[in-house]
Amino acid sequence: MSDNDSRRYVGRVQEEVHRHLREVLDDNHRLRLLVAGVRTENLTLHEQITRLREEVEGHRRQQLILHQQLVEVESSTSRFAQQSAQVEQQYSNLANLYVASYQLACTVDRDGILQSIQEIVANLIGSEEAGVYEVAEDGASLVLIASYGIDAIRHARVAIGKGTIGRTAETGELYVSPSGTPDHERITACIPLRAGDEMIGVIVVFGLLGHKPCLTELDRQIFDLLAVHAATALHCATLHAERRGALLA
Amino acid sequence: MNRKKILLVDDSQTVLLMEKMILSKGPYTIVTAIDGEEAVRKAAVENPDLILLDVVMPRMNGFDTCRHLRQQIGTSATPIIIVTTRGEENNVETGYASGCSDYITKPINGPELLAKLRGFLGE
Repeated sequence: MSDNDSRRYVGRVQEEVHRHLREVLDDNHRLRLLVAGVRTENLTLHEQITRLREEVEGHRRQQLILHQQLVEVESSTSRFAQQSAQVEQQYSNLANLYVASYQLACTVDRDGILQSIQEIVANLIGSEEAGVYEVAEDGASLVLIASYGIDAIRHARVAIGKGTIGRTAETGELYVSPSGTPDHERITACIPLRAGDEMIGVIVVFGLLGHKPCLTELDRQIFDLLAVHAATALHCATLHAERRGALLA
Repeated sequence: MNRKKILLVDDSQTVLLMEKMILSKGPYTIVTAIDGEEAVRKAAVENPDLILLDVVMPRMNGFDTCRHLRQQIGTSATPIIIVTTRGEENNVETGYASGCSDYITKPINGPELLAKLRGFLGE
């Protein structure tokens, strides 16, 4: 190889090396830019992850609050349902008392009053055996004037002061058997009928209906109402009947 | 709101008044009958959504009334609740055999009656 050939060869190699070096530098520059871009993207992604974590944490807190609110709402709903049931029961009890009072006040007919008393005892108290006694003219005994479910002949007359029925007429005090069920005399309750100071009779509740285990607080309220309103109604109806009879005579 | 019509059947004015009082809170139109025969007649005319039927009544008792109502086209599928003082198994069985849908016992418990009514009326 001549010198000229050697110089040309070296020159080509140098050019080749320079070209390759430029390409490597260019690649290096591109890679640097790429790395910078990846770093920027990494930073952005990291920020996004941080933000998303904060959002997740926020959602968790909100979920916790919503869960607490749900528990409170469920508790309130349950409380309202209980209150609603109580109100319905109280309304039903008041309706019982209203109906009893209304039925006793809606007529001055003596038979109508006696019918109402029996219907109240049968349908509102739930008794299958009951009787209404009135103080006899002699003032010493009670006479059965209306009844259902009992032997009317056997229960026709009771001496005042004798037995639970007679003692109720004597003392004027409401008798309710301690267990709220028929006692040894088969009496569940005796309701004195007092018009003013005058004792006019006694309502006797014997047996209760088979599916009614015992008396309730509402029954005692109805007894109190009957003691006053049934007595007054019966007294007024009796006076009305006597006055009518006198007028007709 | 669509008011449901309820036919109350009982020979006792006390019971009818009690039922009316309990149902007066709800969106119901009340129709009454005082015996089975009147109930069958009124049911045919009024087409009630539900019937509350007493058992012991003059002329036609609740069980016979129930059978008549089941034979009428208009009331063959109407819910009928027997209202009875007799909670014994035999009477309940007789009630179901005559076609009643359910029964309640006297003394009527307001919330119990309303719950059964709402169940049958889909409220």
